[in-house]
Amino acid sequence: MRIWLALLTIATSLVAGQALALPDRIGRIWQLAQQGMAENLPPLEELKNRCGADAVCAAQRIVDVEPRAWLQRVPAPDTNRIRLQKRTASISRAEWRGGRRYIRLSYFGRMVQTELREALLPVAVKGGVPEVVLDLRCNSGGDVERMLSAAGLFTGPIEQALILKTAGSASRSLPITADHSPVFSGRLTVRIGPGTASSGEALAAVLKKFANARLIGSRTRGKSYSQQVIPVSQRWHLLYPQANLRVPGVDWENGLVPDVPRGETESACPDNGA
Amino acid sequence: MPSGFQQVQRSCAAIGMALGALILAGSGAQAHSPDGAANSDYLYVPNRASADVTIIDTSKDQVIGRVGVGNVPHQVTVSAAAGALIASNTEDNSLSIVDLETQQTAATLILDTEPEHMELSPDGMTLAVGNIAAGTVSLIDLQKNVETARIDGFFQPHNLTWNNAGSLVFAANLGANHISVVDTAKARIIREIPVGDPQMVAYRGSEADADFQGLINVTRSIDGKLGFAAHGESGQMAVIDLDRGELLRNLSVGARPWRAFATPDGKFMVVPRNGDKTVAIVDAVTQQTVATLPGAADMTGVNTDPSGRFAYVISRGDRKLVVLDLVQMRAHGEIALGGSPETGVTAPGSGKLYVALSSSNQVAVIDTATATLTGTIERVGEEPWGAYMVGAANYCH
Repeated sequence: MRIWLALLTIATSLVAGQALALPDRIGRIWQLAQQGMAENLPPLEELKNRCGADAVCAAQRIVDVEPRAWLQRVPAPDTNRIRLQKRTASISRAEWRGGRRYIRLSYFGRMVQTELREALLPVAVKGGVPEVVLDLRCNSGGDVERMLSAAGLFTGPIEQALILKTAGSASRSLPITADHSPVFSGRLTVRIGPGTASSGEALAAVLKKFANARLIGSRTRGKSYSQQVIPVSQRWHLLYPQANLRVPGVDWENGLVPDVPRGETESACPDNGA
Repeated sequence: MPSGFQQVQRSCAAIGMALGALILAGSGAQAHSPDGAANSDYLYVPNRASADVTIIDTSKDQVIGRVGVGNVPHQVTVSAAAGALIASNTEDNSLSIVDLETQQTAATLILDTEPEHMELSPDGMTLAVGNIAAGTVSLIDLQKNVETARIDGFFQPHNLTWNNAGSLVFAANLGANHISVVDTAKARIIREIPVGDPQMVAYRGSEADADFQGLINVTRSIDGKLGFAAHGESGQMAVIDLDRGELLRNLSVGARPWRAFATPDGKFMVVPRNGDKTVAIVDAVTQQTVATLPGAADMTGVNTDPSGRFAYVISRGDRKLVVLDLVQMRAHGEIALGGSPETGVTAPGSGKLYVALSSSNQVAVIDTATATLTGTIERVGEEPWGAYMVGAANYCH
């Protein structure tokens, strides 16, 4: 009897120890989500009661009650994309148009700063009064840090480039750091339209505020919050609303209004899909 | 529907596997040393498109044989303890285990979807294999040639790293922001170590971002006590106590780090930064970045000379090696390559550096004493993908 009791005790402690040591993935997801705009976030206990240890189930429940959240299917791992370093191009067009450098920035890919720097280089070589037209009409957003690294090529370091405000009163700022030195300081025109959204709108606002950019086009989409990418499983990421974005003195909750209105439609960028 | 080329590939591989591992070259040389153990002079090169592994005698820099394995071998490793050459066949979801003594296929194990990266335990008798498309890790007993466990719960497991005791395996998750710690005795994940901050995005809609790069590798310090794990999205690098499986600290290493590579003198971690085409040199002891040196496009590997003075940074984008002087902390030169470089290995004896060139079916040979390209080994196989030597600082990309 004593032996059985001892064995039972050992077994119980082992199971308990393993259970404690196992990754609490739902707890992690909930904890990260709670750092964002969590007014609709279900209680952790409810998620665990409903889903057990099934993280995808819990993430789906979170999406069900938070309209600004969604589950994003993770593309299958692709050797050619990841290890061959192939990537989605951020710049879909860069050319001279009537003495001005026209650059269409459609995406914030992993090499956006390098691509933009290379697209701007001919301007420095050309001399005279440089002018750049940055077309964001097809830019529907993307990685916020990469967006700021692109902005830094026009602005240089900015201590408070972007303000992030969560659902409560907390806010913090994101800088454009000192390692982003400006490569262009001439006349800058930014083209915007209804296809300009999210990080695309943030970039237009940063350039208007800190690089004296002139906005031409029509009102932008008006999507002014960021999302945090929370890995849920091998197949799914949860994008959960994190913070309202604004540039000091500029917000785009109802869309950015151009300085020079010009009729634009989203069909101006048929390759939009970034 | 597979293309004709793919069908030919599959047939070739099937024949190769049915007949066992064959020595195809005419020299008749054996793929093992006289005592039957793995030969430390031999270089092993997996060829993705010809479904075989080429064996090169580095004392002569000559191909001495090609061993048939499965389709699209991604990585090869040799267990001297088990007397086995092992290839992960990504296309076939299988593992080829070749007996080095008999040169026959000892076993073909069907694993989970897309086995790619693998790492031997310190005693060489257990192999951990990441099935990247399934999100699982297999443990293989090389004494019995069986899969003893298939562990779930990873996020695109990339490179795997053992601790000195062989009790823990650290899996770098390419699709997430954490390292998974596996207790090998329990065959389960016991901990997840967060690295960096989660990516912050702002999209209009549900656009997928295929450019997400989490963790590539946990790089062991030379004494094996610490692990360095660079996180691509955040530019953070975690320092991990490998004995205890615990995070010690996170440090910033800059834009889009690929992974860390240890110098053989134990002084530095060399971290290519693909975000700005530079290379961060991190003091492995103080864990501070002590220099930022010029790199090149799409860097996927770093090798050194035996002393650790010179680092050879592989640039796939520019098809060259960037040579860095880690004493002077400056660029030392560049070596142009005739094909697309994959990974390389420095021979422990001669100090020669061998780099697989996938687009030209060659292996480049570099004299690390003079930093010069001394030649190429031709007709290695189709799409050579890496280079492996017993007792060397091997890595995979």
